[in-house]
Amino acid sequence: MIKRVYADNFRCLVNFELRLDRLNLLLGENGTGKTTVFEVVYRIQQFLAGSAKVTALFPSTELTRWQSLPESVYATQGFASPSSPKQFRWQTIGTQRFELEMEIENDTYLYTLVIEHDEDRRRARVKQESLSQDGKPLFDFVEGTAQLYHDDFSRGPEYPFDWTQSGVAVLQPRPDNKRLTRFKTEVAKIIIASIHPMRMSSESREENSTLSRNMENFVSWYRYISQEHQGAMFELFQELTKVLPGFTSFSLKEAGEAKVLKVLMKQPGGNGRQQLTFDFCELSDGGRSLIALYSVLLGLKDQGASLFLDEPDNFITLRELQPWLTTLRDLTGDGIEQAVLISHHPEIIDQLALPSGRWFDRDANGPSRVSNQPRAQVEGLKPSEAMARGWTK
Amino acid sequence: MSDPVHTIILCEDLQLRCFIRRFLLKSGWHARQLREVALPANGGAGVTWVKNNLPAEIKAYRSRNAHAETCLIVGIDADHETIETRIQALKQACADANVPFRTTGEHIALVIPKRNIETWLAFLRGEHVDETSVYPKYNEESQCKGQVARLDEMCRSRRLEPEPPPPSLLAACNEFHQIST
Repeated sequence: MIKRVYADNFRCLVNFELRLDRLNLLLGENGTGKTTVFEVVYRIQQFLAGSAKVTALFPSTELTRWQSLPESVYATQGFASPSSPKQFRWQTIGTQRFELEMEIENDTYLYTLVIEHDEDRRRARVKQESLSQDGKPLFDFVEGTAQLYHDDFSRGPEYPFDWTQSGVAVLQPRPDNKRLTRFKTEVAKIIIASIHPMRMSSESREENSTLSRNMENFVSWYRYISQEHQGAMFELFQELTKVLPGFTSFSLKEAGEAKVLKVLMKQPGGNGRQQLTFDFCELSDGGRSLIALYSVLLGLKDQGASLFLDEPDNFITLRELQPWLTTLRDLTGDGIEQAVLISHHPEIIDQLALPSGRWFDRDANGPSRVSNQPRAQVEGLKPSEAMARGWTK
Repeated sequence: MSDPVHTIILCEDLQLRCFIRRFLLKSGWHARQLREVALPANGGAGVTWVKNNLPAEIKAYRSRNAHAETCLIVGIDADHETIETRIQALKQACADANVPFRTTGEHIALVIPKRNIETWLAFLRGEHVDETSVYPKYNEESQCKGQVARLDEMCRSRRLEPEPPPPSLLAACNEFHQIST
């Protein structure tokens, strides 16, 4: 479970820290940095998976704009000028810092990534990458030199390493790096997604163990989970029969080199045995979204996945929202490791804002701030109504 | 953060609510400052719905007003009752909920057209009206636009014509004056 996310000099996040619990709802007006936090977690996950090099994942164009401005601009824009000249110089060369603190089986892991950007803003390189458990080192990379540690935290080999990629990502599981491997495995289990049903295809050319950011590869991911977690499929189908009237099951049909996800539905007025077959893409946006949402919940149940879902309520009818949310709440901590939602929907806000809210704020184009102190507590009003009125302070 | 809502409108039907909103906008309010409490089902809720919601809205008003100046506008038709009877009913609803009714200085306005908003609209079209007759309804609420403009002009010139104006409209003007000063 992610306990803390820290980012500095990334888009609107400057010296920004978010602390998380088991169940969290990120709240705040448009442009306050909620999705940017998801992006930070996603980029770190991709970096640790070795999916891309540092320049591709952390381009200089995403350095915080005003952090590199001359000091005179700080004054005219009303931003607080950095207190020391040293700090100012440090910012102008464009250094980013990210930290991810995770609790895994009562151990606390801290991953730190410091990225340096060239002054011409075209290249980035890893200045520091480190991983520790409960304050004891597991991996350190500083300015071109990597230092490995064994599971008993004793020093392992030291070697020169590439400045452009993650040194943690390239390490293969071995008997003496189980702790580091456990951390990587947990990070890989995080699903960071927002649902875009229009982008989902019925067709899949290969199984995919990871769900893409916008769930475009849902069918490929479904192929994977339906093989790997077959036991969960029965429960998923059972639930979908209640959610989608007439639903009976899925089938994957061969179509050349690809497979197409078919949805089997009862024929209206039939004897219950006659079925109609639809391509997944023939379902409505809401139908596809519901299938994706329940697949994420029930298909991954007991896998210890963490869910970071950006506006899962899009496309979902009011009638369906609370049952899904209740299922999520019940499973969080009991099969689902952690849930972090972003939502502007009154139903979700009224359920989660006070116990689980993380409130984002941002002055005009300034840095994002976040607080876990409950807001929107106006006597006589639901939290969503207080938020609609802007009465959150 | 964008500006918070300043004025809440709790109103029993769409036509009255539309009239109040448009009048506030004409008087210098901005749409982002206004928040209308959503009406149930058919858009015409009745006095009982307003009475049921009033105590919570007064509590919310007081909670918010402690931090930032806020207004609450309550709109109901008098129908066959007197304005005083309607106010008494609102007072009783608050008493039943153990919420003190509005006190001096609170920016809570009670807009109570008699017989109903259609009476005022007829007056603002230049008709001589009384507060017992039934006047025709508009097909669309937005058709009151011209009457809102007329009321705004008359408020600025401090003269309601043709005389005599409906007493309930005069009373509402006084209520509006109290929240806008």
